[in-house]
Amino acid sequence: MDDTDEGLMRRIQKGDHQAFSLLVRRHSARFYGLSWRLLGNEAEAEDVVQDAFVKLWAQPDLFKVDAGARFTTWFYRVVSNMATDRLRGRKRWAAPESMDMLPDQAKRSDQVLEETEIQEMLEQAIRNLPERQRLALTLCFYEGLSIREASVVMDAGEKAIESLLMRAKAGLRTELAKGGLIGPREERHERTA
Amino acid sequence: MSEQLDKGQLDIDDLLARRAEVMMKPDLTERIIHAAMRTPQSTSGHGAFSAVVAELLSCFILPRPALSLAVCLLIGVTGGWLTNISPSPSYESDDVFDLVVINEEGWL
Repeated sequence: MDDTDEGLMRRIQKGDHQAFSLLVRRHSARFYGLSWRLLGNEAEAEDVVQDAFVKLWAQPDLFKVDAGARFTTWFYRVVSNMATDRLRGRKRWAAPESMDMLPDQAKRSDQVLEETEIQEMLEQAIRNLPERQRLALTLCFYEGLSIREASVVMDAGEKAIESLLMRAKAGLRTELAKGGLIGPREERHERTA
Repeated sequence: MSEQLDKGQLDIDDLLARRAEVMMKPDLTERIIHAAMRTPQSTSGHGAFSAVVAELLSCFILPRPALSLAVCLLIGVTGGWLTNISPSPSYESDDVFDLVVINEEGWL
């Protein structure tokens, strides 16, 4: 039996719920990670991933198996679009909320406190990045996608993705240099580049 | 310059790598599966019919409309140019009379 993602999608298109369960178990953590990194909020990230998978079940024909596209690349696009819509809606209707704290904050020793502060600064800096830069950074750095795969997900050229990544890192470096996490020397290098 | 950039990015990459892992709640997977079970699927007959309609419509889609129209125009002009048609109309006299004389022997 074809247990590849695309094979499972074929079975899902025929109404096979077991194949759907297998696909969800295989990929939910990965896409939850993407959603969380884009939204920074646990409840919203869960909503987005659940909505995306339920939509996949309800309308499996949206994925063209015979077109030769990889399921994960296509679904990255679905989830990132849904998360982006959620972000835009949040900006439009609500005041910005703070990001959820990351796990392991119970112990508050000095070392943990310092690490937590670093994490908070990092999260804040990433959150302040423009939408596309954050998405490019998340896909390439945290999800491990190649520039080419990210360009398909984001519907942009490879050069554009490289440029987004470079600008994202430059922006982060500037932001983190203000907080003293990175020295100004590195900042100068980025500007030179 | 790229070496300089790489050295410069070393710190930021290290820092980015220190970003905490995202942990998913263990029950999310089951919640998704149960939510999907309650949702009807829109495939089967309706999907097949719409697929046939889409396939039929796709027969009329011009892949590159501008290029196709340009080629059609070119073929038309070339064909017209090559066709040996006299620019001044020539009529047989009988044809002209056929048009002018409507009815000589009829009930009128």
